[in-house]
Amino acid sequence: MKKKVLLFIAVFHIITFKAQTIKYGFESGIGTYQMSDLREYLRVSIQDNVLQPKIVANFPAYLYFQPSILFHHKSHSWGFNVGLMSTGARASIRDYSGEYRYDNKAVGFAPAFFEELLLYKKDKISLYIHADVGLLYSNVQLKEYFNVNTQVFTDKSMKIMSFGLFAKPEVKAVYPINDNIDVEANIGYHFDIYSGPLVQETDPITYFRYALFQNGKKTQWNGIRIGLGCSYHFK
Amino acid sequence: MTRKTSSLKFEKPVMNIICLFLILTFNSCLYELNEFYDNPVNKDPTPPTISVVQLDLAVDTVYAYGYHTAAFNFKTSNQEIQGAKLLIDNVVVDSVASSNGVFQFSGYSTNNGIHKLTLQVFTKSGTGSIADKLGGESFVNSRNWVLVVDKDQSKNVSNTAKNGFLNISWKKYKSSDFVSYLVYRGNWEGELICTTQNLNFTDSTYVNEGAFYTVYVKKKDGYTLEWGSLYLARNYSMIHLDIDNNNQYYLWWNKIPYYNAVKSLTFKLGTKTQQSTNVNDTVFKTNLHFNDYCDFTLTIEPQKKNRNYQWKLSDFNYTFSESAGIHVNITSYWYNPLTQISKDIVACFYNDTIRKFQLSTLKFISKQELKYKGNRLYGVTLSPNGKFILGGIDYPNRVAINLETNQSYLSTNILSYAVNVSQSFYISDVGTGVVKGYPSFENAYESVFDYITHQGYTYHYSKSIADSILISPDGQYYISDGYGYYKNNGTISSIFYVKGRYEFFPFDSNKLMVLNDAVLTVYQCYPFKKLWEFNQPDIMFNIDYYNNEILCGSTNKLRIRSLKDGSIINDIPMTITPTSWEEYFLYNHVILYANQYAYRVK
Repeated sequence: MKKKVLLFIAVFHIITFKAQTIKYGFESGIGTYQMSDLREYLRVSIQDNVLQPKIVANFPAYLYFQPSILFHHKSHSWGFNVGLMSTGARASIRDYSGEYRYDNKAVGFAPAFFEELLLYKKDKISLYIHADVGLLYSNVQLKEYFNVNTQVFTDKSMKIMSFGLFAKPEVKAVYPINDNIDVEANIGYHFDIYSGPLVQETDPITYFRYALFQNGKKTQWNGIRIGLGCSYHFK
Repeated sequence: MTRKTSSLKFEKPVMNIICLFLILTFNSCLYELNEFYDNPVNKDPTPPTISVVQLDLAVDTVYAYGYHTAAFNFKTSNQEIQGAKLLIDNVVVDSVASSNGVFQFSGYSTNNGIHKLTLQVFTKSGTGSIADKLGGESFVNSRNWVLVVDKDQSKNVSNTAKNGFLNISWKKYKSSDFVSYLVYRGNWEGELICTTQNLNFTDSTYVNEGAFYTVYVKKKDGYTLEWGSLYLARNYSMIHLDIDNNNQYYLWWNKIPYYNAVKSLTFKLGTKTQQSTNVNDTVFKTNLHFNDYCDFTLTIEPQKKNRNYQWKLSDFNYTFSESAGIHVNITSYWYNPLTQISKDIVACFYNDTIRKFQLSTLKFISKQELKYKGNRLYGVTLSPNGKFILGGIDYPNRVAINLETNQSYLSTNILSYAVNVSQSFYISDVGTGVVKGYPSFENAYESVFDYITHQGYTYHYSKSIADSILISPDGQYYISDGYGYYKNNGTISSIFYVKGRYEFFPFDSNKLMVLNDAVLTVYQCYPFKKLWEFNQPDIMFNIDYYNNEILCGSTNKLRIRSLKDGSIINDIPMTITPTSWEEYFLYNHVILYANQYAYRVK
């Protein structure tokens, strides 16, 4: 059965590839990010701090960017895109005598394969159902800085990373401006299918050997994605 | 087809530009953290008022003797107390990061004298700033004391005798952490004998046996400070032997200052024991005679027997173990000859030193080291009146030294049958002596040798070496085995022959004493004639020519006879019968035994 399904997918995409229209697209929008582990980590990190810093940023919604290449045939499209997400958190306190801050900056790099199916079309507006499945590489930079009366006591940083898998279903509306350029709007949700533990930076093989047996803090990029985009296609 | 190709040519650079644009956009559009929390601060807080709940320091002057602790507890009207510091002369010696605790400081690390002690209490500033939260801002409350450091506790404890008991007293410990004084006795396995707040303690068990006392101060922090110690040494030589006007020897000692602690005294002389409860007894009469060995023990039994008494009874015994007589110790060797160089002075050469001992006072009047150019002298003799000294430095070299001018005369290669440098030779008061030699045994001779001019005069040849030779103090007369010679203007002539033991008078060379068996005869040498003679049946020890007295030994007595007629002047009773004429000498009414003990003839 598994073989039959794989064979069907391959034949399907070969046929569609032959009759394709290639589109280069770029999408940007706002994403929300769950990041519950890192939020908790930050909270615990500062809860006993005698300076009593406040959390002034706690992984807020922020822009994401996603270029893509799409192969279109009739009502079905598929392609590849690369998502770039970022957010962060900070605990901070400062006054005339000094400053303390604890920064936690997360960047997600998400190459994915996607498919689109036309659901509905009226006049020039087309409505698609769209789904991404891809890898997710997360890079988190922790940075702590502390000075009192111009004397710096702490200024240190550390980078940690993780790998994961994600899926992102969304609904997309497309409006062609001319023969070559479309504008698009979409709304979707990012699911982390698998999120590996955060460790200090290393190569992927070493990471997965480690991640197989370890558990720990993770990045959770789960959240809504609302974006606008445009695409240029060759016919 | 043509259109597509041209379209692709156009698209390549466009796509590159688009890609570059996207990369730059991505990098510049990553999330940046720009938010800060500005801490609200109070820039003009009111200083707090510090109140003292507890502070174990004196009001104005603090005394530090050793390690010192001071508990404290402060309260603040407003800002939280961060801690307190203690400073001596502006140097931090202790700090506590709390509003209460205990300071520790040491007098040991500070010089004796007066110093400034400062207590600083730190509170938060109250601004609420980061620096304030970390203790980087504070209000400081200070207070100063006069600090007196006294590390020298060596003279803190002293003792006196009070009402017949030992009273130990000590200086006051002035610090505020005082609890009590602890008095220990014994320098090891010490025993706590008193806990008091007074400044003295009476040990009613002490009877002069020697003890070590240590006074400690017990402090509020539970620790003790050694406040001082006192070592009372036993007076081992507290017993003395003396002789009264009736020539009776008695032992005496000073009254024990702690007499009320004494129960009884026990006297033991030889095998006889006697006990007394009269603590005022300070004399024990004996029936000892001169030179008897006195083995006396005084035992002091205390009223209250302390632990010491149980396991060290010997501490309560005082002994006197010496021969009866006045201990003069002129030399350590009884055979070291003394020379009576004047009526009241005897001299000897001992340990490279000429010692002159005055008989009337029984004390040395001079000790003069004498060497020849750093060389020790051996076989040393003094001339009869102490004007010259003669000694060997190495065989056969001898040196004569004029003691009045300190001039030395070295004589080398003097023939002598003396086989070593320690052989003694007579020397007269004019620096002449008799030298014996044997170039060949068949032709032995004796010469008068002048150590000053280094000239010799042979006056007597003999195949045998003389056993006994003597030269008169003025160097004019010589006697060799009884034959008397007279040297006059370089001419030597034999003038007499005597038999027995003979001596020249030290101050009159023309007089010769001869003891032959029991007959003592005094001769005039030149012209030779008998002056007087008497019978002397006792063993003659020596003659004090200056006082015309002869010391003799008889049955259980020493006897002094007159040199004029042999009459008995004095008998000194003895337990033994003295026989050794080398051990007893009479000089100026003092009998010396073995150069060690003296007896004044009254």
